[in-house]
Amino acid sequence: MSLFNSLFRAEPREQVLTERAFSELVERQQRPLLSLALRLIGNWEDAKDLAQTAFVRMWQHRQRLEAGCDLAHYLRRVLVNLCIDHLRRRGHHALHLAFDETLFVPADSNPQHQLEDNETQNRLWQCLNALPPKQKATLILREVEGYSVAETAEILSCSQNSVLGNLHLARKKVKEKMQPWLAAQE
Amino acid sequence: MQTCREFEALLSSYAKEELHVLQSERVAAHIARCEHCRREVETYRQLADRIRNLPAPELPEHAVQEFARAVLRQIAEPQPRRRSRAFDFFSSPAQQRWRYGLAGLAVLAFTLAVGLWYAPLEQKSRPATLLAPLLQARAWDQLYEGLLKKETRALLLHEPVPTELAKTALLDLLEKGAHDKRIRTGLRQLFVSVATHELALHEASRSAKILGVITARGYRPASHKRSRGYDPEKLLRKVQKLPAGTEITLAELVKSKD
Repeated sequence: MSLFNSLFRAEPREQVLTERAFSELVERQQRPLLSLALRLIGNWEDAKDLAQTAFVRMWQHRQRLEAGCDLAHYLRRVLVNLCIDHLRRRGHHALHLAFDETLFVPADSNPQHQLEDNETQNRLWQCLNALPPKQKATLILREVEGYSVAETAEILSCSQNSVLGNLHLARKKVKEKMQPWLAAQE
Repeated sequence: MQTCREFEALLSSYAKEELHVLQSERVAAHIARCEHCRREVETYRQLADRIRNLPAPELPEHAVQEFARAVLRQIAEPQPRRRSRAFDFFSSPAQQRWRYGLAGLAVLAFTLAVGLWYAPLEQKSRPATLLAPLLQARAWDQLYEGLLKKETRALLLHEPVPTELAKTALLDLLEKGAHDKRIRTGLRQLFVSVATHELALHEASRSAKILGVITARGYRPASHKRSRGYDPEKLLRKVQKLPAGTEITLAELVKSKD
């Protein structure tokens, strides 16, 4: 190879994502990704569209992916950003109108428990939906999806302190709204 | 001793074991003796449990299968190429011909536009017929208005007229001006206007100052060196010295030495 080529022509990058690998990734990640989108958005049509956009966007930008990067994290980052933008555009205060609680059915078979759970869960969803999009995404990633603070920060592309701050605000707001309800139950 | 208020922001993170060891120890020491904060931590733990135990959404099986197919179908379709890429311009040979044609038209349109834009400037060098009719008709008011207007000022100042015409016009102006107040005022305004334009071209910083002298002292600002050239009697003397049959512009006349 000439000096010019060695200096100015980059080696062709190794293909991180082949079509077959992508197909397998869709198969593996579609359920968790759809679940996450549903928890953030609350209705099937929008959640499906956003999850599909996240997959397609990753495929379009596959040349930028670096070897060894966590594709599942990358997908979540794209999806969460899409969901936050979607909520901001639509106005998160109007979310309760589009939120379909019937998609989230408790597994308990006892009708009495089911009724109580349903009421508490509906109230909890209302509190979560009233949060600003970023705080809601942070809380869901940390509490529901079970990511650590560092992983949540990576998915949201922000600092760990920012994640802790958002978590504190979100938990405080939810606690203030849920406390009377929880006290009455006890 | 720290108060409950100072620990408030740390309690929810303490409940989820997100704090550093030192912070965690401080909060633990506080809640050991503070009943209120201990209850708060317990509430945060309960809430975290409830949020974690929210049921997962039920995904209809057929819809999930359809979802995967839709994603794979979408990536299999050729994506529309982005027109912003520079090399796309030379992509298809069929489109290339159209683009060259359009580019040629654009160049032609640009040339025409530039030509039209600069057409008035080119007229300066061509013999125009704007000043001569005004001088022949002794239309001093119109000449004055023309000199004031930006569009016609350059044409009037740089249009060559026969020296004979300039001489008779100036004589007429000076003779009538002696008796007619309106013409006298017009005459002063005419030369103030010429002076303003010329000075604005050559010495913008001093023009306002000199113009001030001219307007304050009438049309004969004899006290100022730079404005002596605009004295109409001197202009007449200058014209009279010129050989008959030649042409001169107003600007040259003002700038020429006596």
